[in-house]
Amino acid sequence: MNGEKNLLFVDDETEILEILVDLFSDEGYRLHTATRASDAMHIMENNPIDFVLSDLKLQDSSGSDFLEKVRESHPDAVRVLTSGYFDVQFGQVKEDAKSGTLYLSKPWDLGTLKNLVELKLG
Amino acid sequence: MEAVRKVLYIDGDPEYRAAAEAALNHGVYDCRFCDSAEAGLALIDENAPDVVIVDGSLKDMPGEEMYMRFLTDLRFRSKRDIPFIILTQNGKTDRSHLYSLGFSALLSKPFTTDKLVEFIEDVLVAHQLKMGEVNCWETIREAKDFLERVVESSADAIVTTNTRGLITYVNRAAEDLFACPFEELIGKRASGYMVNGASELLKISALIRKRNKVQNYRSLLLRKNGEQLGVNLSISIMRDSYGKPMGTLCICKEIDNDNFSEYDKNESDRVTAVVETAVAVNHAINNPLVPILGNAQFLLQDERMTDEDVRRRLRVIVKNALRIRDITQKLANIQRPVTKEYLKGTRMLDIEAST
Repeated sequence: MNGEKNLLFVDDETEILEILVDLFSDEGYRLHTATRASDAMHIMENNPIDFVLSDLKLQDSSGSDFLEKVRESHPDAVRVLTSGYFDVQFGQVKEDAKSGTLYLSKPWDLGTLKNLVELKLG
Repeated sequence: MEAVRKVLYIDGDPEYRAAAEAALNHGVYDCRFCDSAEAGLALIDENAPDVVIVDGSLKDMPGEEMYMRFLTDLRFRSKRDIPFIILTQNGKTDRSHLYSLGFSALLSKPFTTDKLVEFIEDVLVAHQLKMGEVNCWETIREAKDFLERVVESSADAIVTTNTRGLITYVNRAAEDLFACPFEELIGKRASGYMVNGASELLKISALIRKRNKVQNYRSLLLRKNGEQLGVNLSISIMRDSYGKPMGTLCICKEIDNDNFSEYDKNESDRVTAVVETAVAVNHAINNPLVPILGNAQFLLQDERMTDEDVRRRLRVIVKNALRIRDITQKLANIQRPVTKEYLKGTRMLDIEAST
């Protein structure tokens, strides 16, 4: 049962957030979404977020800056940065050994994303 | 066959000399004996022993003073590594003082001849190990000095960066190339010294990730005084002893401005323009692909979606969405734009040939 786990998705495109919510809505997680880094940070401060997936390009900040702040304030949260420009193959995830941030290319494979969350929070 | 070890035994007491001679004068050792410091120094000069045993209280000077003379006399400059054992009288020894002077071992009188042989063997073995270690460090130091001289003497600029793209080292040629001193360059972003800035560095990073190195990449550098300089870059990943990337090593060769023609500048601008377009295309296309691909995958997973014709059409959407993704990824890896004819009079970028 995943009832205690909180996921946060940050992307300025609502259709992308909808896909993410649809993907995880029946899995027993508490889901949070934000289209701006400032809103996402507010959610981080008020909820025990376990997993954050953020787009690289946000309206008010870069996703990497946002995740760097998350790393400082919530070091235990799993952080995933996603972008259409990463050189990561479809169906694969790369990890930055230094920061621990995971990289996922857009468009992602739904199964890869689901497995990643289960692996990290299971 | 065991090598013969040359031993010099200096002692004013004839009984000890005779006992030492009886113990040491056989095939394993080539022994010399004398009773004074002056005679001992002369024998060292003449014979270069492997080990010297000297009594602490010789008639012409203390053994300690003889050792000091040995260390400071230029005649023995090449022999200063010879280990010395000092013979002391029981209970009258400042051991730490004698060791700090450099004696390898202290042997208290009276001693048995067996003990003397055992001491000599121990000192020779310890000395051999010590010299091996000294030689090892000397080799490392020489190699380090040599590499530093190679790097500093290089006519081409050498720059290293860490994994965040910050400059960690520059040689003298790089200081000249950037017209900027070492202290000012260290810790700065490498992209700050490229005319096309971060977008060009992004492209170089993509090439390095793909091929592990970049060779003969032409670029324009920005000097401190604002001048632009044509360079040829060769960049590779530096790894630590565990194979983990620790940054990049870049060798920059200045291209003669006459040779760095307008064509090259235009070519560089063209590559940069294509890369910038690729970044925009990746962002603009891959984002809409998320809901296209995601929704198609959702429908394929939906148990209610049983109509095989609909499922076939969904698979076509997924397949072609992935094709688009592959093309945008290839665009990001373009090294030098190559075009081919699309229609008569109209050319198009040959993505395969350009990467």
